[in-house]
Amino acid sequence: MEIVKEFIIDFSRGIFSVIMQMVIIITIIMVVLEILRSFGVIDFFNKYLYKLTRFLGISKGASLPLFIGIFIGITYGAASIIESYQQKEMTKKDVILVSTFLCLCHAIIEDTLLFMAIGANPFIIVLVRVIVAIIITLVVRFFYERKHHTDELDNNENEFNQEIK
Amino acid sequence: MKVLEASKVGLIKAGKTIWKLIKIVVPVYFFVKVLEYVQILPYISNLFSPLMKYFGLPGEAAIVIITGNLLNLYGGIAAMQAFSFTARQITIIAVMLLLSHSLPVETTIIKNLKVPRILQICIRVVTMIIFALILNLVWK
Repeated sequence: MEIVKEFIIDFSRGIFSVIMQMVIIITIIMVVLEILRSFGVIDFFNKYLYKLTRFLGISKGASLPLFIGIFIGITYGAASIIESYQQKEMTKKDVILVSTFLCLCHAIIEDTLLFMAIGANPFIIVLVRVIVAIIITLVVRFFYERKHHTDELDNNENEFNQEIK
Repeated sequence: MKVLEASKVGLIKAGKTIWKLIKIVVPVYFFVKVLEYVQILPYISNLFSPLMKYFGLPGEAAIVIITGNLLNLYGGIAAMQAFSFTARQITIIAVMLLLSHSLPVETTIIKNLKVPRILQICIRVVTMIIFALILNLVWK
């Protein structure tokens, strides 16, 4: 019985701090983004971030969620992706590519400091993580584009056939 | 005025997003806590400890990797304190854990973006294994 009690207390405490952290950080991110958007600063950011991220095959509106995820954390990146997708600033392809990247590489400041504190080499862990995420994202992009390219060809062919008939 | 208007929109969006994430995170967090209390992880780790030598790690590293993957990074790091690893081993463990960790929670969050969980787990675990092997071979 003692252990159940301990579990409930431990769980409640843990989930409370998780939720509080989420509420605070997401509220700050969303309000700041909305204010920046109203002044047109987001478009300015997107223009420059896009230059950095274009080679991943993602569109302009996807760069900001990507950077939020990389620097702040996967939960906040995901929150920002959901928001951008609903605003139609991101396509389905963007969502898949950005999610793949963030899967492997997120919260690099917090995570790296955590492991630096116990004696890992910070340059190696950051470098490996970013390079791996880029490689895997490009692989996913390749397969995604190939699949959808063939879909397009099929559609064209169907249209062509219909025209003939 | 513009700022106030924008803040209001931001707050509404934040509320919606937070609610969405709470619904995801609470059950998964419960599952992770149960896993921590049931103490099944040492048994799983024993199965994997013979494989650790391919990554240049001692067998005990299995408990660190398994804990980090099934619970979270803090659990993995806490498990590391029980053993003494060299700087090279710590960096290899760090690379492995950073590529793949907190799988129950993080895959559920990304699953919400319509990327299948099984695909995410494959990507993360396979890249973890491949790049740990490479790092072990390249870094002498």
